Amino acid sequence: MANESGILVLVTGADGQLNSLSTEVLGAARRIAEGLGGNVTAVAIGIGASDYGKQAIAYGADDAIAVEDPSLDEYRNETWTAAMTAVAKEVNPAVVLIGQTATGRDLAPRFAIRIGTAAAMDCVDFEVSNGTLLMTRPCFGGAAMAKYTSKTLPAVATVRPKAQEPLAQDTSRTGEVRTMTVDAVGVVSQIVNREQVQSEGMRLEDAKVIVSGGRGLGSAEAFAELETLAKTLGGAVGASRAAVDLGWIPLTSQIGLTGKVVTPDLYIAVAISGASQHLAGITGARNVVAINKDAEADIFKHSRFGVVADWKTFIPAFTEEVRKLG
Amino acid sequence: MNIVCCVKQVPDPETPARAFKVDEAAKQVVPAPGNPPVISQFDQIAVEAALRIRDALGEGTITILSLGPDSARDAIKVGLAMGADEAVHLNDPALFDGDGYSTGLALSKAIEKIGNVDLILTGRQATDWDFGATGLAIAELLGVPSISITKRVTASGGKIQAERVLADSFETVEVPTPCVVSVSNELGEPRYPKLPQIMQAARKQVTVWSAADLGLSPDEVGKAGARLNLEALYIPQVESKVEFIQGDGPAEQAATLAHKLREAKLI
Amino acid sequence: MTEFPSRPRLSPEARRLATAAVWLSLAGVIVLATVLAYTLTTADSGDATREVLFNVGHALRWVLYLLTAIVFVIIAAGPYRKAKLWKIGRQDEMRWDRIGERAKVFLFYGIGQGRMTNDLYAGVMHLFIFWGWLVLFAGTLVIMAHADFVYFLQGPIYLAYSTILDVFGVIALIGIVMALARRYLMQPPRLRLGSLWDDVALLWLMFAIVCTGFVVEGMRMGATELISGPIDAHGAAFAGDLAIAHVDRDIVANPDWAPWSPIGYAIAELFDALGVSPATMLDVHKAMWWTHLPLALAWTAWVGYGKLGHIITGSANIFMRDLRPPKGVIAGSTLPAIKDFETAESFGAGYLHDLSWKQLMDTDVCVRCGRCESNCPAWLTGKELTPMGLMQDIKLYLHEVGPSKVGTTGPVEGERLLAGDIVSVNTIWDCVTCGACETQCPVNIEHIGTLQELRRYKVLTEGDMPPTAQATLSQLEQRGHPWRGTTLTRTTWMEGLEVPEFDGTQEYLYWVGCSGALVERNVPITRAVARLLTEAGVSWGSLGEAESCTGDPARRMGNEYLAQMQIEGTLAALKEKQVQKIITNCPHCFNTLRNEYPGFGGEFEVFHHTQLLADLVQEGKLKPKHDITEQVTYHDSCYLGRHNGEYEAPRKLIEALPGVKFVEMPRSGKQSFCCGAGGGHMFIDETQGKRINHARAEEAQATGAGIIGTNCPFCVQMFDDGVGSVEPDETKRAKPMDLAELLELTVIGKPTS
Repeated sequence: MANESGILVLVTGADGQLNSLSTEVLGAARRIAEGLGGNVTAVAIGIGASDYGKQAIAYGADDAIAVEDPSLDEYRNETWTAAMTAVAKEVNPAVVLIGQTATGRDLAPRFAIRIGTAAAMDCVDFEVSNGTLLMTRPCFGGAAMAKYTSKTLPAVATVRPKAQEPLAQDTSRTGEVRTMTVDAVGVVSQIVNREQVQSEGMRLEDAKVIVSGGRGLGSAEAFAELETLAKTLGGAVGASRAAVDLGWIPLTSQIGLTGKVVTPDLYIAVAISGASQHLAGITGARNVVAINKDAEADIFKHSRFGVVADWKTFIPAFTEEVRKLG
Repeated sequence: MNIVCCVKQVPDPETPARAFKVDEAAKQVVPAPGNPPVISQFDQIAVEAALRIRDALGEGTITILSLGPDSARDAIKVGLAMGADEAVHLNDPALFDGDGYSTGLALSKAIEKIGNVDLILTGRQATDWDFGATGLAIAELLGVPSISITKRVTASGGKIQAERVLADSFETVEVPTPCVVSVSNELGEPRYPKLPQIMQAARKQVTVWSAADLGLSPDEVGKAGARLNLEALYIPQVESKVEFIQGDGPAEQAATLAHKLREAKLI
Repeated sequence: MTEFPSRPRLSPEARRLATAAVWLSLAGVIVLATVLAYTLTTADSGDATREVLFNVGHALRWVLYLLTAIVFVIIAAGPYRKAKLWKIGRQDEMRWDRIGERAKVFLFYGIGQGRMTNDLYAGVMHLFIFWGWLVLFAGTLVIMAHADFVYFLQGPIYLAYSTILDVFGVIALIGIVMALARRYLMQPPRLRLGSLWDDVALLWLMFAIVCTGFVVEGMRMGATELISGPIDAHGAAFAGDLAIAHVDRDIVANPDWAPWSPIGYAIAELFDALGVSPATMLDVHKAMWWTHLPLALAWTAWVGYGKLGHIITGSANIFMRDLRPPKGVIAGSTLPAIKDFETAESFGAGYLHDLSWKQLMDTDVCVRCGRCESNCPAWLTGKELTPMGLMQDIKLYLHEVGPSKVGTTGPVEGERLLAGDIVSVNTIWDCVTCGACETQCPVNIEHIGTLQELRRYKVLTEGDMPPTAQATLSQLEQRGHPWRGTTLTRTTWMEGLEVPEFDGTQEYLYWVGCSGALVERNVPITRAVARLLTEAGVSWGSLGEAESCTGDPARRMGNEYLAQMQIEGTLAALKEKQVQKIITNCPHCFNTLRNEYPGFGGEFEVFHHTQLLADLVQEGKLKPKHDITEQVTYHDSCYLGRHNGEYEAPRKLIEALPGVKFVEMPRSGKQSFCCGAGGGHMFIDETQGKRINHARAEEAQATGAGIIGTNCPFCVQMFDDGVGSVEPDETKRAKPMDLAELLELTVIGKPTS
């Protein structure tokens, strides 16, 4: 193809509401558009596509495409990839942005190859330089950063949650939302079973306060202390991958590169060394407080407050102090 | 049942931060002396997934496939020691430093050349570049179904079932063979190789192929064939603005911290 | 189970004194009796003697000889049959070289019973029974020689003989009563495997033998010495052609002789006082003699079997002690190498025949005394492992299935695995290789080697081990150290210090070890040693990044393959730099470099840092200046203490600290209680029960000391964790510190960081 222009953004939502990641991606798209020029077109697929398309306009899209078809209601790689490909061929964008969700991770790589390019995954920043898009993404577990350009167009990128700022919602913005139909494709995958994970308490992604434990806790029982503190603070309990791998806490609590990305106002890291894979999950945390015996621990470089102490004595004392404050 | 496990040898992700260095000019990681390269952890779990399927079926051939320089042989040996039967090593400089597309192309041609493959297992992402795209690229280039980021893979009657790890749920998807499945650490610990197996693995022959053996020209593969271009690699500078809480013992520190957090309206 | 003794134990010095006193007394009896016999006797003593086989018939001697011969055959059959079972095991174990050394070992531990008085009561009890019985047995031989070969028991020598035998009979009786009191009244938990026949009946048998013996003597004396005058010699027969002396002269019994057999005398007088006539006494004598004989023969035959078998097999086991390790070092410190990795299909001990014949013999030698168990940190903290149980379980299975295995190779039909079946998985993994079992065992059983063979089977052949062990072994294999998740490198500790790089020109290589470099808590200790070495003007250097694990954790966790890979790598690095003398930070590195590397061709002079530092203080090269005002206690680490016999140097170091008040822990020196980190347990989770390091931390806290001196990077971490867990009040906590840190404080002052 030639004459690619504009940014195509895949937006998703739930229960009729555009999700926050989509707004962030739209924000990024808008900023890229300032550098590259062209329109920002939102595309939504499946149930509620028109609603999401409409809401996308308020968050920065110039126009939107809704692909609605019963076969697309549930995400399936073969149907959604086909739909995205059709839309991309129609829109002919210079850049395609997809939010890095489980769907995004599954969809973007195959879609990109299908349209003759390759996806840059898990991007945290974008810049336009000399008319070319530079995509910045973490690598080596978050220890390093890499910048990529795409030799082929469109450039396809997935965007990490909480890495980009959304625009303020502007409901006065207008734009066309048109529906598009795509050819049916053979469905080869069957969804055989779905199992909601029983997570007690609030979702980590929603929690304003998280108390998180790492390898240094030493045992599963230690998490009980963190539970008490979390309860006192009205927050949730998370863990580094080390603690999860050791079987001390369920994997739904895992925060990090291959776990959850969280953005609490207060993140208390207890006995966590601060390996980059874990830090990758908390770059969006507003305030990090770290408790660690080792004054040189990397976690302190990313914290606002640091306490060099043995968690065993510090945490119960701290819980008590918090309780006293009322 | 023929299974191919794609494995990659990567710099050690557990390299301590103070030992992790990057050569910005060469856009490469400088190997840390105390941390030799390792098999990418999710790839080792993919081998475990393959072994579990073979254990359950009571039959199956597992082939380790790796694209990389000589050092990739260590990753291959891990797979063989765990119990894989054969190994193919794509060892040709023309193939190196590719992206998901060009690497995926080489791997998919290799898989075609191996022939009769029912299932391709990979780790969800390589723990060096963390793309998570190559496995899906293989599926796309071979034109077969894929299931990504899974914690359980089973096979029966020409179909593969895999349980995907989603944000708040697990979803079991079934696709026909041949297909590509990528696995995540939730699948479990890779088994510890038994010594007789390690000894056997050391004696196994590894097939080595170049780009030419795959029928690919140098400009299609590796860095030349990549669609993404690495412009810069650097270690982000982090200015430490941490305030250490002083105090005579944890009780005092706890009181001070609680106070400061209350002042900052965080609790 | 008790954790640490609630009542104060006797100090080792007190025990040694008591033991010495007992030995001296026993010797004193013999000496005194002889001296008295020769000085206090009257003219009449000149012909003092007694008639052998009095009242029962001299012809019996032939019957006796015959019976004795039969008994000896019966005795021999016991070990012979057992040995057939032991032969099921591997034959690649040679334990009859260096005969001279072995004889010395047997003399000290066997005859000398070197370890028995570790438990003072039981030790004295056994000394009494042993010497009582030995003297009585010797006495029987003497009288037999006198009766049939050389007539010499006459006069003072006879009187001395009588006294000695009587007194030792009493000593034996005291010992037996002590034993009975132990079984019935004191009932120590470690005797829980006592059996009706082999323990209870046996003791009563011995009791009966001594009692009937005394009654026989008393009745004889009552019918002879108490009534003076000539007694018809019942002698004669078998003269001439057999040319053996026999009693054919008239013996004029003299009452003066009687007190020289005090017990017999007392019994005779008692019966006399009760109005028993000499004629009746003769009848009682006969009856008792005919009771005493079968009892004694039964006991003698028993020597080939059961508990009494320890006389033969226990002695043999002591003789066949593992002489590979240097003197003072237990066998378990030095594990045997697996030689064939290429072709073997199985590694370690899965089945009975995978153990060596010596290891199988060990299980048979075990008399269920339980000293190993009552000193085992795993057992004492509520875990499954008991070394005694380990031995007994294997033994029972050996006797169950062994007979069908004789002459076969490989497992027999239905044979169960030792590793994981007969011996449970928990037992296999509970062991911290502290060596208390091997140190305590009076018959030199080598428990650790056997257990490690089971571990090797699980790890190498089955690939089955606790997840924490698996993670650590993978980590070690990949990165050359066991400390998963460390943020330090092998050179981080050097920051801010002048650290010479070892290049072969320096005298000492300072082997920092993995813990010393990569664990935050240990870095100050490493730095302390470095600063002290420099301060003392020692020529030293460090290998820095060129260091990799010595292989000890892999070996202790049963992965002999990985261990040997590490050993080869480290050896190559050491040889390349032409290392000759090594100072280690860590007793585990110390142990393996010193004791295990020679088996792979690596001979170095290895020192632990406390040894070298103690020498430097002694030589005045390090001058302790600042006072240590806290009370200091000291934890003997297993790998420096029991595994390598070093108890003195660290204590010299502590005593050199100015102002120090040193208090020993109740269990110290050879009886020290493990911190819980050995045998891979620094990295492997404990299975159940109380944490070993908590138990030891309690003991340390209870001394009231402000500082717990350690010499090992594992111990100090274990105490940090343990003290923190058992004492919630931070102000009351003892501070674990390495002796190097203490020395640094007193010589140099505050540490650099």
